[in-house]
Amino acid sequence: MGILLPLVGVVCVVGIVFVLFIAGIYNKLVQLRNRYENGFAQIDVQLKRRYDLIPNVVEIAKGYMKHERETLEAVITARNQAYQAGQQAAGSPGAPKAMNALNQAESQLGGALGRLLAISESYPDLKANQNMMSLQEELSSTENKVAFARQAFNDGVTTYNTYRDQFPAVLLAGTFGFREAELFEIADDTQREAPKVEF
Amino acid sequence: MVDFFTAQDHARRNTGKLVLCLVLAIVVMILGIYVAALFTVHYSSDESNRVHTVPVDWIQPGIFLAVTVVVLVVIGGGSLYKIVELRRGGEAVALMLGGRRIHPNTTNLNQRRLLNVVEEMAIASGVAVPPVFLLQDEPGINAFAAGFTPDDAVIGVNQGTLDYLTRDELQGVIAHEFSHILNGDMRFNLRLIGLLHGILLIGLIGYFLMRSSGRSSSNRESGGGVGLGLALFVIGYAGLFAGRLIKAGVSRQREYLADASAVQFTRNPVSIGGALKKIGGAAEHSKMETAEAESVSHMFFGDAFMRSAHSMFATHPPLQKRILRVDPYFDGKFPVVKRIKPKPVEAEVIKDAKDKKKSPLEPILATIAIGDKIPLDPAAVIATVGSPNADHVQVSQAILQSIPEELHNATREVFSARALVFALLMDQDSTEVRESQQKIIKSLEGDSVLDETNHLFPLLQNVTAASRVPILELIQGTLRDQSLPQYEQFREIVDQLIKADKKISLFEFVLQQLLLKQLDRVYGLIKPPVVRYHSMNAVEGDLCVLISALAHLGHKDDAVVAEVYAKVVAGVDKKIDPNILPKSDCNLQHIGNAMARLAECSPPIKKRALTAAASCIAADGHVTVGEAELFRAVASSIDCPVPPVIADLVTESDALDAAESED
Repeated sequence: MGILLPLVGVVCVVGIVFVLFIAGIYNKLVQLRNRYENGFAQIDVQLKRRYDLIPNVVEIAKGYMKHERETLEAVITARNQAYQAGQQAAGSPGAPKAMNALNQAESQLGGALGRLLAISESYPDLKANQNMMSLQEELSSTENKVAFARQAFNDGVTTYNTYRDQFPAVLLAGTFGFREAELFEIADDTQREAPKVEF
Repeated sequence: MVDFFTAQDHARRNTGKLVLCLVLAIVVMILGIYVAALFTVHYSSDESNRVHTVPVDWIQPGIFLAVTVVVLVVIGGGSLYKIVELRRGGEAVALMLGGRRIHPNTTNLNQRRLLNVVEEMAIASGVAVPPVFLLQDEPGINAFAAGFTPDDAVIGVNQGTLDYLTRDELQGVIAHEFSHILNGDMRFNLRLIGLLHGILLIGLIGYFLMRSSGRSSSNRESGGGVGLGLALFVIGYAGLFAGRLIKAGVSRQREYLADASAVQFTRNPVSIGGALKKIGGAAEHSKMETAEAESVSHMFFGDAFMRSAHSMFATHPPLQKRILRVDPYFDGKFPVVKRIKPKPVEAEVIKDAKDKKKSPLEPILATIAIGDKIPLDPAAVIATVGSPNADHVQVSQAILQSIPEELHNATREVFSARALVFALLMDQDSTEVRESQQKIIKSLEGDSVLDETNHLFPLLQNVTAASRVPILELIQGTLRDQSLPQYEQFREIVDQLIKADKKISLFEFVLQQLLLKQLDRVYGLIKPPVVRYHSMNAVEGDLCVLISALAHLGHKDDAVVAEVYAKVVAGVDKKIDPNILPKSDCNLQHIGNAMARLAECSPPIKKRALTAAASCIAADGHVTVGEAELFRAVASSIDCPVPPVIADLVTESDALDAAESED
């Protein structure tokens, strides 16, 4: 009897310390995940703005570029796909499948939009259109904001992944269901530059 | 009415009383568990069934020691865990309750309206606009405020609040929450959660023990286990009830106080009264669905559980009583509560502007430029610290409306907000310095940021001088959306931009104290201040640095400067050396260090320091807008929020004139 109770006491103490330790790791993982999820919410706001602006650009361009139907339609299709991908990703930010889909869709959209803007260079009337100019200005400002938000998100994902992949979190992350998060990269950045139109 | 400093002091002392009560509760719990352990050991060790004939041995030091150790470890561990979890302050509480941040650039109309109300109240109080979290899964009408200091507070709001309340009622709720922020309730509340969590754990362990022992095979074993489990469960929950009693005792009175402050703040009892009535009328009332609500029940606007109104454990006074205190003509009938259709925000603001009589301060706001002088009464200003009233709200609304819309929108986007800070630091006079600053921005950030900065710079020319500090208060919340690397980069650029002209202007110093110091705390680069100094002696040197600096800054003539300093310092304590420190001993580095130490003083000391600062600034009878900004920066860096100073100056002196003429 004399040994049993103190032994139980010691086991309890060890058990509690252990539990606290685990809980600390869990908490940190939750905190870091929250941070990048919050970062994605900011990206989402900016992307939605972009998705709202694009149909307006296409509408105006349609009036001037009557023979460029394919280019215009490509933009709308890409925009709709990116919009869907954005919705999916917002539901599970950082999840590899959703993020990859978004990355792809965004690259496609960037490419299609770039081509449209490049072609519009050769329609001086369109270029001079006031609405078109202000829309382009808003688009470019939104691009800057997307880029900044993306950087913040990626920073958050990197911090989370680094902590998750190191000891001691690495032992527990799997059991707790903390998957590796995916960055938001645009697959082919060069496509976003408006290609130069040579005659 | 208790002033800000006294309220903060009381809040601190209450923590001491709280700890005492808790220790008592823990001692009682240990004794209870000891008895339970004794009986468990006694009954499970007895071979035969003749338990009644063998007396229980009451003195068993081994068991007592074991019980004490285990209980202390569990309670200590549980509390420590919670305290560490909440170390990040308000945000941790918001996330714990399932909140999601409402970003400043939201387009959702209801959320936009809420953020506008929060902006108004923050500027009226003289604090940075706090982040607002939305608890989307909560249909009840409720809200909370949490954080360690006024400048790192966080506000959380239920979906139900957004759905059911009008703008005025929202204002009442937010005003109530701001008064918690300003009264120092929050820090105490956070401590409370941590300390009580440990006691909660014992009950939980008992519960699990009961459940698992019940399934054990041996009858006698399971009997003992269940017995112990039951005992732990009962004792743990007794501990919980003790905790609730403590919480209830402390928070009920505070709720009445916060309601009263809200009325003073909005001068419109319909606002908070309306909100309370809607809580009565709504189907879900102010009930919280999340399980975590128990630990933070004392921090909510409305009772999270709506137990019987006169329950001992209620954290809030009965709803009827609260309503009657703000609206004595209440007939007891709660309104039918319907969802509010979101209106376009401009319509609401215009209506508000037409409803309120035109502020007598508008012409004054328009004509005051930097360098203009305003009369200042130090005692009056100190009285307003942490106690904003409806006049401040009016000034705040006037200021917000005077900011060009494009600029206002820029304060809500993290990308533009950063560029706005750079634009604020652009040298107004020298093209050469401006060019070197532009080079810095371009090399560290790139063309897009430089373009945005150059775009915003001319817009700043139209901003009234009174708006500069409010703009900083608007920006501070937005800048939290940066990642840590982005913030560090931002800080580096700000530092270089300030150094570009090889001097630090008053405004640049204000920016450092108001913006950078607070953000450093948010990003964990600096620890939040802990009260360390309780007597003026300990920080006498720092006070001298501050007053010397202010004296030098405010006056040109050396003789005048020395005289002012001697007078102010004598007013604090006749034993302080009346010789002013030379300029070399009170440069901005020294001031920064002095402020950091003054931030760790107890509230009464802070009050004396601030009164001295105000007297120094007002010594020549007039104060420039630059000096007013400096005063606000000084006050803010020691966590004493000062409402927009202009309102008081004119209102107070007018009031004094009026009073005199009545004699």
